[in-house]
Amino acid sequence: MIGKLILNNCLHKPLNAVLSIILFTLGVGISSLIILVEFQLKQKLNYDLVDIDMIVGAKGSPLQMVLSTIFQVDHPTGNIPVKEIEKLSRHPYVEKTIPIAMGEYYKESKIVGTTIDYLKKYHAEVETGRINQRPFEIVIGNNMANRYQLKVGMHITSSHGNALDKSEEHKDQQYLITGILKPSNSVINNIAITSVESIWNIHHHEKDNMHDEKEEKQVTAALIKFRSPMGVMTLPNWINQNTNLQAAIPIIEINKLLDITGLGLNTLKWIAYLIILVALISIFITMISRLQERKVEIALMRSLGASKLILFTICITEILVYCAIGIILGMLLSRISLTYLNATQISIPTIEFDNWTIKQDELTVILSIIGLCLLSTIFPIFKVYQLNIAKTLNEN
Amino acid sequence: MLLAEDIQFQYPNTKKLSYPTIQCTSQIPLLITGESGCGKTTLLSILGGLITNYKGNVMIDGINLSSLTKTKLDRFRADYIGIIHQKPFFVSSLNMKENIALAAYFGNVQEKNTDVAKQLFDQLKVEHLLFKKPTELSSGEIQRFSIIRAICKNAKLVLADEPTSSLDNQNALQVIQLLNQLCLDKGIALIIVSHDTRLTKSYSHQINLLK
Repeated sequence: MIGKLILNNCLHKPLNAVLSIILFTLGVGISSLIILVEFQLKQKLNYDLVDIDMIVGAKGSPLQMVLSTIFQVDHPTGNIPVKEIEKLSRHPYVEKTIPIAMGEYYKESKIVGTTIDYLKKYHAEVETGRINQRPFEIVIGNNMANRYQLKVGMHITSSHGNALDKSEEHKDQQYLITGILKPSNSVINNIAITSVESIWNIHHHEKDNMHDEKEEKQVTAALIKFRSPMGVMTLPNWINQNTNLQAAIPIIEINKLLDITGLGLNTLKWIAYLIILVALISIFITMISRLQERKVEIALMRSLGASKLILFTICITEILVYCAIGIILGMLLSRISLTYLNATQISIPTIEFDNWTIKQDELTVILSIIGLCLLSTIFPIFKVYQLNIAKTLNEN
Repeated sequence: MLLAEDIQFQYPNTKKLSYPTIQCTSQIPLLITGESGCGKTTLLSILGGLITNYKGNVMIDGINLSSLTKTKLDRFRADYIGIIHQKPFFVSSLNMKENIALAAYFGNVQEKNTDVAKQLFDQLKVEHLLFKKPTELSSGEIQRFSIIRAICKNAKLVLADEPTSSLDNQNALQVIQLLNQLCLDKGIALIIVSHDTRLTKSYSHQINLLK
């Protein structure tokens, strides 16, 4: 019976509470979305950074080098000689070196020339076909294959640099698609992978009459995993000071980036908290005015034998119902927005969000809201406690 | 059933109200009359345990109301007393059936007593109004529901405050006859306070309060 009463009270004149619910939905939705994006961005970045202690490439911006080499966003800083990488790979501190050759595109997606170690690093598995073995064989990330309707056995033509510029297409050399990779949440989902030799050959073929056979082979960068922590402490500085290469520690560059974006996210978070505070004030005012309206009904229920505890429970539950509706709608809003972001991927092509679970930080926000809602019931409870039944019933 | 002796009460900055001894049994209903302002409604609130800071003793079924704690008084009121207010108040978000069920719920009424409510709906010809909201009913209709609410909770004492003040002659007579009959049938003590002269003929036991 009490449940029915609470439900009917919530549905009776619902317009009063609509504003509070909208504000709760917005506040919770924005804060939850920020938490999810922040969490999943970090998760994604950390996943892509696994086993990469250092990157070496051409001198330029270290952040640009990290973004282009690991996350396949932004342009590379330039090329470096392969022999420098080979020299580095023989260093006692270095465990593994993965060369990366970039600059080729299929439409808007990058083609990366690398070794089998790159696919192993991301635990890539083939969904259909097989891994590329010879020059001009290529495997396609699942998302990229879906985007361009690519199938095993098809031939594709790459272009150099600007992917949309048809004049730069290498029409005389085509890649054979040997495999499509299984879907994954890593960067390889959105790119095509071939051997470094394919990238060298396509450029050698293009310029065969312009360069001699002994032209120095180059790659864009190399991903390095150290055997010992001493590597991180000594090698980057040594490389930057004594060679024409640039060395960058990805985790440091990414943390710098997150610090900058974190400022924006924190501002948004505070705006969301402010909206939640306004929602709490709004629900408090709604409850006070409802209490004023229903003073007689509360006195009536007291005269019928309802204890103060039952009436407190009714008041608190009504506030919590509005609060819960706001929280549920807010969480749905953030998830739907996230799904939309995932589906469109307009601004961040290689970052995907797929997580519907509730995060620790979201729980903190939800529990704080519930706590503050309960706190806001103190005044209504005090009013119910003080209510003079006879006076209220007789004066009305 | 009810015995109230030496009752005195004073609102702040007003003259003290003193009441004569009031006695009522389930066999003979009591009508308390008096001019406006003589303290009829206040007396009813004292007898119903809604006002507690009075002097004197109110005994209902052998229990002195002033000996009960606030919580016990709430429980006692729910179990023993049905109140029909001058203006019939109902919970606006609930329909009439739910309002009656709510009163039964607070009064811990057992299943067999909800059957009493069903009989009363039939007897007072309000079955077609059960799913209407309080604001959709006329004064006469809503007063009938007030009577049902007071009686169906298995009360031993019904206190009615001006139950006919908003009713026309025909409805007033019907309501009062129903109330008297139902209380007699169910062995409920009935006290009515009213300044409605139409009621004086219907009651042999009357007390007139002086200002």
